[in-house]
Amino acid sequence: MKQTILSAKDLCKSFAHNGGQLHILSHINLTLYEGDFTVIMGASGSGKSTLLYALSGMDRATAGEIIYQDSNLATISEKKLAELRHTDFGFIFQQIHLVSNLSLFENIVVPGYLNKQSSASEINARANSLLEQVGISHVKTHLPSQVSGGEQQRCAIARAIIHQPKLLFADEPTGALNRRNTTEVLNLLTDLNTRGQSILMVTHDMRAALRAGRILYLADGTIIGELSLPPYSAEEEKSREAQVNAWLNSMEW
Amino acid sequence: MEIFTLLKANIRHRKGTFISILILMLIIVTAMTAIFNASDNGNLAVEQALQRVHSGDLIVYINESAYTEELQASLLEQDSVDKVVPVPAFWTESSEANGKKSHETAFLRTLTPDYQILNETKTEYEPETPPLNPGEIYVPLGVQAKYPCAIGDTIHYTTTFGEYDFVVKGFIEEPNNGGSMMGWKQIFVSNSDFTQMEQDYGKLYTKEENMGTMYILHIFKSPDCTVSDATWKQELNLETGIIDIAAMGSLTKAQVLHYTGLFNTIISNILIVFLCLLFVIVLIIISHSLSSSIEADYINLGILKAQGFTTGKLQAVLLLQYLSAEVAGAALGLILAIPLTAALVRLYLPITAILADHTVSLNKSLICILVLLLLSTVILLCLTQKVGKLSPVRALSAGQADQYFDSRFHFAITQKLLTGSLALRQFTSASRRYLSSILVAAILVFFMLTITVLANMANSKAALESMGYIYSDLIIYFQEPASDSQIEDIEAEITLHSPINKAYYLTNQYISIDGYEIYCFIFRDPEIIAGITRGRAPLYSNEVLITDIVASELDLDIGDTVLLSNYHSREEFMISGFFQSTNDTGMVIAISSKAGDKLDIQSPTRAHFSLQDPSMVQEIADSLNDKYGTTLEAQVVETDSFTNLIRTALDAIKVVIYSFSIVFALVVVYMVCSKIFIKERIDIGIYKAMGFTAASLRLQFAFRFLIVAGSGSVLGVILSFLLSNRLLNSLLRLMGITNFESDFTIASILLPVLLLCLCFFLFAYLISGRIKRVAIRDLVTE
Repeated sequence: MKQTILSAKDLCKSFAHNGGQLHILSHINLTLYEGDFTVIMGASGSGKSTLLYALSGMDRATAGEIIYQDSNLATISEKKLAELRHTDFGFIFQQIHLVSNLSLFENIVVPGYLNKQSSASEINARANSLLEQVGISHVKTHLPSQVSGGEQQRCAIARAIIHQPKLLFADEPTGALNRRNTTEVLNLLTDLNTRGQSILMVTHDMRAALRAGRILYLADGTIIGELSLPPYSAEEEKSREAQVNAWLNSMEW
Repeated sequence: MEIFTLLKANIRHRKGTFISILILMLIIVTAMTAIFNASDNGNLAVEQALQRVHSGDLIVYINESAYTEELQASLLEQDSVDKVVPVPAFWTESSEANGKKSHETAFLRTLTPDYQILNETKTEYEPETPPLNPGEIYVPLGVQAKYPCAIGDTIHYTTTFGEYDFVVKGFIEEPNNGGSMMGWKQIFVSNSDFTQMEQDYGKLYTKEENMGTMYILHIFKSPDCTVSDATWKQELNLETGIIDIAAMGSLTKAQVLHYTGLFNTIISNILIVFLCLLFVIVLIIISHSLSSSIEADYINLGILKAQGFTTGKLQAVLLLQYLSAEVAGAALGLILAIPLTAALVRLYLPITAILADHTVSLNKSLICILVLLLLSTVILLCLTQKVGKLSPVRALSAGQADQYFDSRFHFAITQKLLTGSLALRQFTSASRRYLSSILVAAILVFFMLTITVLANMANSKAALESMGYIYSDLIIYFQEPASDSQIEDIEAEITLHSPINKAYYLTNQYISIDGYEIYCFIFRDPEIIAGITRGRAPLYSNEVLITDIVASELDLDIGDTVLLSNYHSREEFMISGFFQSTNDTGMVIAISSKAGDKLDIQSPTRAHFSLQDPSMVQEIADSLNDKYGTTLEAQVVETDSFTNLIRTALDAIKVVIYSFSIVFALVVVYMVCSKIFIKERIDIGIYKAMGFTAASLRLQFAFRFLIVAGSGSVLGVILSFLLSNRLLNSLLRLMGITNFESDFTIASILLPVLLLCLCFFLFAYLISGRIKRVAIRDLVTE
């Protein structure tokens, strides 16, 4: 029996628009489980990223509940949310968003320092280990502007997991990358998930979706379909792709 | 039309910048216009008053007996002299009001209809001057600073021929000696009182005895005489000896204007220098703002160029955007200058004793504003040149270059000081962005520190002594020049109560140096002279000490020989050194008593004592008066109203400068914060996504400005060490101070530095409140 890590109930999100309300998310009910690699797919403008930001507490929901460890993220204080971001959650952005005046190493250690659970030397050691894992230790003293997009995104992943989050959110992490870098990043995420990391990822990239064990399909702010898959293996990628493709076609993707 | 559409949009979009520049210009134009107008109106008022009372181009205060028929004829023989009008008067050197004594010279004379009287509120002159009844006097406003006294108070005058009590009926416009900067005062008595005094004098003395009768001679320059007042006076003295034999002294019209307006001029000069520095700050801020705007609008400018906007049009939009804020600020400033000018005129009234007009001269103000606008237009035109280099294709494809660069200063990010180290990194990796703020902080600290040093000087015994000021607790006026045995007795008496720190025995009087009238100190012990800046004291009987100002006025140097004359005694002296003194605004010399003997100057006539136990001073004064009351008068030295006025004025300037600095710090921090905030919006979002709270990010933001203020302060303190003395010397030279030595104490440095750092930190923290409103959602690119 899988343990629930985060759940949403009647989640709504709307924005003021031209004097009225623009509804992006409409009464979404969702449960995420520990150790799962869940992917949210959908057409552009379907509300994927909005859902991800609402679930991660990066943005406030208009209505509904987001329950994480008995707390409703929709109502807890900004301070508590900030604390969650450097303790339990990790986030990877599509546009990478590294702090431009910090080196790659510093970009990784800063959220670790913020989470005062470990000493500075432990965080430094973990950051060095992560840099080795993601293969960018040779450029760790470089500024983001001095490395490639793939190296930047790998740094962003290392940054997102430096504090060993319980749940990792990823917003189109391969959206700004070329094919080779995309594979590297997806391998990294798959490897992390294999070692027990819970991941919720938004993507419209088929190759990224193939890595998931569960795919949710969002259309017009509502989850209209769900597909469960066996754990990913590179050897079965072709058959997995055909299965996902067929399902997505049924969703009118 | 398209320019105005863009202009309107830009102003709407950058309201904060528009308002900030408007406020800065408003402050500068208000203050500058008001200071210029108040100062000009003050000078004009004195000139007009001099004309109204038919004052001569040269006024000589001369004993009645010295004004012989021979001298009269000699004066009228001079081609340069048009006419001479003698006004009879009596002199006295002792007066008392409200329990306070004064030993400054007063000339008691009759009233003529040319003089105007201030109304009770001192806001305007009475349409007609009411005649004086017996027992009543009119006094100039400068007399208030002596005692002080008000209308209805009684002033007691002691002359050699009698004691007189007069009731102050009102304050009179007396432009020759009326101001607080002038030691001597003309007091106006009724005709009957004057006649009574003549009778009293006649009962005891003849005019040859010189015991109180005198003339105030108004000598008018011939219209054909084109030389300066100073040269004319010197030539007249060489031809007639009028200055050498004048009983007390003389004043040219130029000197009257100089002395009367001296205090205002110094205050105005200090404020004008400060305002000029503030304008430099405004230019720095505008430059920073414009550069940031061009960087931020790089793509928009590219789009506009792609649409066909020429560089000239885009430059015009940017130029008009800033100039419109400046013009709006200047226009409002001009309006606010009207009440401020009136307030300044009122503030200067007790000092000049002349009620000046408080209107604002539109022409002069507009010239002042135009100069400011012209300067900023030049700067704006230079800065907008970079719009010409902007290529639409590059702007649209690449956007602006990365704003960060790899800093050479690598301060590690540490866990313990995470906020501080991140702030330091933000600062070092984009220090160019903070350069303008550092410069602004440096200029503000420099001026705040300079004015603090100046204000502290007015309250520091050591600083005043180094400028030739005789600082004492007790003063003794001798009836006759004191003998050595008398001095021994007095010192013995004083030492019974308290040891003596310093004792000065001296006389002062006007003599002439190479025919030029000069104030001369005659010291019994010249080695005690303070404020010597070059050479040494005039220890020998053929030596004289002069000031830098006398040296530059008469082109003299150490080792030169000069001719000193007093009445009919003339001797050559050699210049032994330079000193500084604020007496007669630096037109002072000093010699020893032995040298004084050669010029028939009897000394000492007064003594100053600095005591080890100043609390005993009253007891000592009483004891000396009891014991030697017939030969001397001992007085406790009290801070006079005028010294207090100077201290209050300096403290007020300090408050004004500190207040302006705080307002400028606020505006600078607001403008720089806003620009940085726009540039770092994404970074702020990232930090928030990492888990930083808004409070810690605000702290980080504020800490950065603390670093900016700290760096600026270090620069400001260095600037002060290098330039404060020079700046103050040039400002205070008018006052006679040529070698100002700034006394930088830890407290004087810390006060402006800490205040500015606190302001920068606090304002940055408050303004960064908008960090709370940055949503991480802004990072979404769906």
